[in-house]
Amino acid sequence: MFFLFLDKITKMPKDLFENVCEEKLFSEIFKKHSKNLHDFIYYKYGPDSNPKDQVQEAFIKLWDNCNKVSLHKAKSFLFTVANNLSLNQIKHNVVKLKYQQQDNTDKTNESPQFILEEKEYLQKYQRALAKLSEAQRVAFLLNRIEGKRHKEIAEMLGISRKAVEKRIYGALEKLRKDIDGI
Amino acid sequence: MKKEDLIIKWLNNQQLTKQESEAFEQLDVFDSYVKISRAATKFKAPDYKSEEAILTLKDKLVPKNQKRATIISYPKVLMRIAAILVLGIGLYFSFVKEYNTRIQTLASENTSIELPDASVVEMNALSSLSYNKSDWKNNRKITLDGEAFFKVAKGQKFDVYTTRGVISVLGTKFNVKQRDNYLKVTCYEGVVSVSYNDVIKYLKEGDLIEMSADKIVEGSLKEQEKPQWLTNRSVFYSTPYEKVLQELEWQYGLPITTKNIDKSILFTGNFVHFDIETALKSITIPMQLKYSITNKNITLYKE
Repeated sequence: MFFLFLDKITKMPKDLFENVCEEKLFSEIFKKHSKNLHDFIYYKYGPDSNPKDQVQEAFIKLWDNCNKVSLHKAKSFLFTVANNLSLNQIKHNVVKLKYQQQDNTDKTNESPQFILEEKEYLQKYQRALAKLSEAQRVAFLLNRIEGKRHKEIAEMLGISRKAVEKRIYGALEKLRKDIDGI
Repeated sequence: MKKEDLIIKWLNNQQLTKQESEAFEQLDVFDSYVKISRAATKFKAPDYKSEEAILTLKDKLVPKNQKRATIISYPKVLMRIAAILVLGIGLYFSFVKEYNTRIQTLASENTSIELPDASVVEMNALSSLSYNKSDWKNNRKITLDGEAFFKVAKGQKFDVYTTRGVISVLGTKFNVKQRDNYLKVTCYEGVVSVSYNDVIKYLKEGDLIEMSADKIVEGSLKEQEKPQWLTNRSVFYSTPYEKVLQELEWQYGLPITTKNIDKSILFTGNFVHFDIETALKSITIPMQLKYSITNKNITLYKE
């Protein structure tokens, strides 16, 4: 009886979300954080870092350590693990984000010159993005592309809102100077 | 509003007031910003579908809860309980039980035991007592079956358990005589308490209490300082002859049969414990009786 009792005690979470071993809870965490995590890795380290795999790996690690990680700490655990995994994988190359090819089919009215200019501009943009610091790029792209509020980004990265604003503004200025060739 | 704050507000996708909007559009960098902002969307990360991803992830995960559930399978728990029980019983018998020291005397045998605290117990024939040697300091408790004289060293409570009652003392000398349904406690020094059936009697120096099956008699000591059996003899004062014979049987462990004898007659005298012939003579001659011993059977008769 004593052991049954012990087992029950050890199984019973002290806090409702003391750990994340519950499958349902784990799925919720995945739904909530996987996309952000993926985008974070993608914008930070580029497509060469295999963001999808890193997300999977990070969640597997979280599952393996589910006893030790409370719900409250799961997000920072995931971001730290995914970040470290990506760092291990990439050989600090220049991060080259891909731009989507212009879909020209329904834009027949655009002149070939415009298309060429557009392409040149995007290439410049691409180089300028690569020159940004990782921190700046992540904050800027999450804001511009994913449409995230400064506060959301601050929560995601575990930094202050002021820092996020600084990074985004800094990135914007740097891009402008770079692209305009100042 | 400062230029930087304005830009930050715009970057945060907040609605700008008309005035702010105008101010923003006035900025020389306005065009560049809008262009950069718009172009950024072209670098969008590939769509990430968490619903699909979780399916591939789940294949790779070791199911945790099921694994845990198997750990608390009932047979295993029962085995643990059984193991604990076996261990516990084993320990109990090997340590606790073992240290219950037991001493027995045979017929015609007297033994003197010194207990761990220097108390002395003199045991009469055919008696047995047991006590816990290891726990003696905290628990001075003796279970007695038979007759014994106690010289208790000063200290905590000292209990003698018999089938009829419990005798508790605090540093004293006393004799306990227990025969089947009969209990006699004699106090030689100090105070003794005798408890039986929820009744507690205190015996002072020289008091004695006799409990037989049907009656309880309190009296005072007529004997000498120590019980006579300690000097290897049994002494009787106006005792029914039946009891004298019982005592003789007890001391020598030999059955006694009688012929034509009135067993209720009172006897005063004594018999020794070391020689059956002398003992028989000392109880028969005063009563004008004869005895015969054949094959360890003793017969008393009147001519």
